[in-house]
Amino acid sequence: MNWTKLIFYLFLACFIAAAVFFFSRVMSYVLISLVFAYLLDPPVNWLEKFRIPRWLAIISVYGAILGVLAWLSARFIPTLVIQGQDLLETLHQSEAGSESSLIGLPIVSDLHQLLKNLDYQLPNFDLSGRFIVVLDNLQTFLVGLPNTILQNFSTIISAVSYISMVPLISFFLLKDKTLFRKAIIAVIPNRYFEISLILINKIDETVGRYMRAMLFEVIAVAFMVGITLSIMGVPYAILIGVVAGVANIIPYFGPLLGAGVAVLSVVLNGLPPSMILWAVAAMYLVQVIDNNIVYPIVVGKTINMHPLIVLLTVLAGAWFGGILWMLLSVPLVYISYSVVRVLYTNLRDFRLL
Amino acid sequence: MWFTDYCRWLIKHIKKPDRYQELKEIELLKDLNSFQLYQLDSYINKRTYKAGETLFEHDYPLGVIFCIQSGEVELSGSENKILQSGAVIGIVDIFLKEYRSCTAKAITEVCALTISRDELESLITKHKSLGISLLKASCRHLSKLYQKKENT
Repeated sequence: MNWTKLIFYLFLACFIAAAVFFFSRVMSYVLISLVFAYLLDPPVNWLEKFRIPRWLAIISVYGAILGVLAWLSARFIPTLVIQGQDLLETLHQSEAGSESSLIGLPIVSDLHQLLKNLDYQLPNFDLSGRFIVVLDNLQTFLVGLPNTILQNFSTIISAVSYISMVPLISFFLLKDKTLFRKAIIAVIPNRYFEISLILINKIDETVGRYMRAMLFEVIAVAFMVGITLSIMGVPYAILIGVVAGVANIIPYFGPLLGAGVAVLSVVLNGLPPSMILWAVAAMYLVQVIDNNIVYPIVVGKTINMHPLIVLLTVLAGAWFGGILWMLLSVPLVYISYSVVRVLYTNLRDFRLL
Repeated sequence: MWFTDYCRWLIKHIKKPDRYQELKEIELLKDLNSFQLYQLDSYINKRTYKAGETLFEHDYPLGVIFCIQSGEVELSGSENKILQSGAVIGIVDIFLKEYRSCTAKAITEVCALTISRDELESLITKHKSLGISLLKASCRHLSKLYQKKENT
């Protein structure tokens, strides 16, 4: 037994454990910066092709992003804020326990009248009374919904330090990307060198392509939903667009969530029932364009995850960490699955498994 | 006299050493310009193999090209030969085959520059001029090998 080797590896393990413990709190900064770096890598590489130094290419891309964000803020943020405030006012209009605001909606009042008529024929069931109880509970839930969402996102909203540190960390990750890769590859033993190189490239390609595709999809869906609902005259169209775009991260069920929000907006504003059909038709059209044009071009093939697995993943994410993890769980599971599949194939080909 | 010595010393320290001198020593890469070498250098990894160590085995996935900088490598399998400094393993097969057709073992200590297939393809796709330069260099290299074979 080589005691020197054993003691050295023991010391190395303790050193790594201490380093992980010391840096554990900044891991979230590094992970978010890594995502940011993955998203910005293609435009930086494109600029570098024209013999622009890499550091200048990164700063140029940052400048372009700041410009776009400034334009978006000036053009859309005021509208989003007004729509958000209007929605909060609508939800807060009635006090808790009062049925007046929901029962005043045309669809709901028609349904209540129908149930009252049924009560004359079936007096023991008290259907209209039970309906009022359901409406009260729904009212309480809707009034409390904005606070529930805000509480879940409070860590993001209050993270000013992320906004300042992430671009800085990403700058160095982008600038010295090849140095970091070479340093990691240099410590790999020769026996595993070729497989590691293949794995790193495949994982890099899969993860990077997926993240960029997701970002593009979110923006495309938000844009299309906002425009189509605005044309149809659905209230809070831009707000619904943003929600539908983010919810689209979840396959199969995200679009349903977006459609649900659009329908809720129509119902809460007392618009005629035909508008619900128009809103659903608009959401369906956006999904058809997204699934048949945007997604195949951007990603190349659809995510091969069974709807049941997606549902269980979303539920597990919700239990684990609320709304944020509901959105993150599906991409994380897909990326993990892709990594494991690539790892298995290559370990088998190199006769290591 | 001291003035010329001083000037030589100054020039030696001001003049930056050629970062890509190592790459230019490889026959295949010697005609590339500095920008093309910079692009390639980002993806090239230097590996050292001890005498007796295996670089790759027969039927392994063909994922990496090896450029021998120093040392000797023995190929055994579909072809049996000994490769020396300047040889490039896999430059033709990388675009034709999926798996290695022979086993490569280091006879002496070997220093090799390596680049993976995916990275090379990606580089050539993004930088067409580099692809053309490499194609010309590969054709020159293969033509020399062919002439050598004909002469022997």
